Amino acid sequence: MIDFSSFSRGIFALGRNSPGGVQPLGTTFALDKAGHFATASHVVGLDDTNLVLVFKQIQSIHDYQDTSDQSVQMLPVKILASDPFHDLAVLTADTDVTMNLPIGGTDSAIVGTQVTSFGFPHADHGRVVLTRQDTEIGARIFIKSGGIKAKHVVLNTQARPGQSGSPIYRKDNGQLVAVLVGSYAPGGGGGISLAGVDPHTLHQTTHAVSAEYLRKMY
Amino acid sequence: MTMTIDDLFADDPAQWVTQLPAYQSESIAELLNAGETYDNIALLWLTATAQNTFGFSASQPDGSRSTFLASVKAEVRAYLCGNAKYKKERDGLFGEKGVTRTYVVGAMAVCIAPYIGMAAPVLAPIIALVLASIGKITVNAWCNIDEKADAA
Repeated sequence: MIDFSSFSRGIFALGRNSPGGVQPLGTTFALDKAGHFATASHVVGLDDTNLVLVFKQIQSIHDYQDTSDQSVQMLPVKILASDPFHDLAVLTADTDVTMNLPIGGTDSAIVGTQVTSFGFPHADHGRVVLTRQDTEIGARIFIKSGGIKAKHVVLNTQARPGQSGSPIYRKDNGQLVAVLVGSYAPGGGGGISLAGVDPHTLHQTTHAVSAEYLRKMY
Repeated sequence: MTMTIDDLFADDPAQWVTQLPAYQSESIAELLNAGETYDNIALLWLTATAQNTFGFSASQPDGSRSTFLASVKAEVRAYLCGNAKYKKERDGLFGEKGVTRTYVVGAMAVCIAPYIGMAAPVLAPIIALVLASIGKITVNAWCNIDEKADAA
């Protein structure tokens, strides 16, 4: 089993800076090339103006993260490549941060494979707490986007806004198998909102796209 | 062989997209094989979302992305046909010999991106698709065609 303690050094919130402060958008993680990061393309959208990595200094995922401390550090980041059909984007920043983990894909994660994700749930409320979730692959599926079918997995866990872009690692060898992109919602959701929450998204059918599509992007 | 812009337009239009990075050109080829036009693919590129999936970004949507394509087409026309805001860059590009499609697409993307609020790497494949949709024609001849033909 992999010791994920130090992974906090390579996983960041992604945000957009403005005069009113930084708005967290989602999750991004370091790739195996210095200064290169991956996320879901819908997190960054079409524009990288004022896009930043957002981070707090924690040495380990086990550190206490002070939720009353709103101060963060930021590093400008730019879009290097964006693939809307597979909902993936690669970003670059002026840093030597890297994570030397193999990029696999969902082919190597059969149903039942134990996986670990790291992300920033509830970022839509400004919360920046790096959170680990352990779960297993519940199904392997194709999802169509813009006419292109792509390999995805169903994760048997509930996710929330801010977790798009979260890396999904195999627990046994640390291989990156997928990137979290959202949850199942008939018609894409968004039709109903109760106190800002779409009830169609409150379940344990979370979608993640195969990481294999990242390999050709940088 | 040294190519000018007009040489590139006189050649097979498909080359504008086949010379994109593989992760882009392969998806475009799949959609072309499925019968989509360059125009439709550009629209799909801008509007693609995973079916029956609610994205867990904390960001606000970009608004109606389908309107971006008209904006990109208008800026490509402005660039190629000599609009004053692109004159310096256009004249530089048109004066060069030995340009490649990759260079042309990249140069146009960098130049146009700030005017429409898109990052240049996101914009580049859309520009390539718009250029491919122009077909085999000289730039001057295309510029003399009614602008409304672009929107059709």
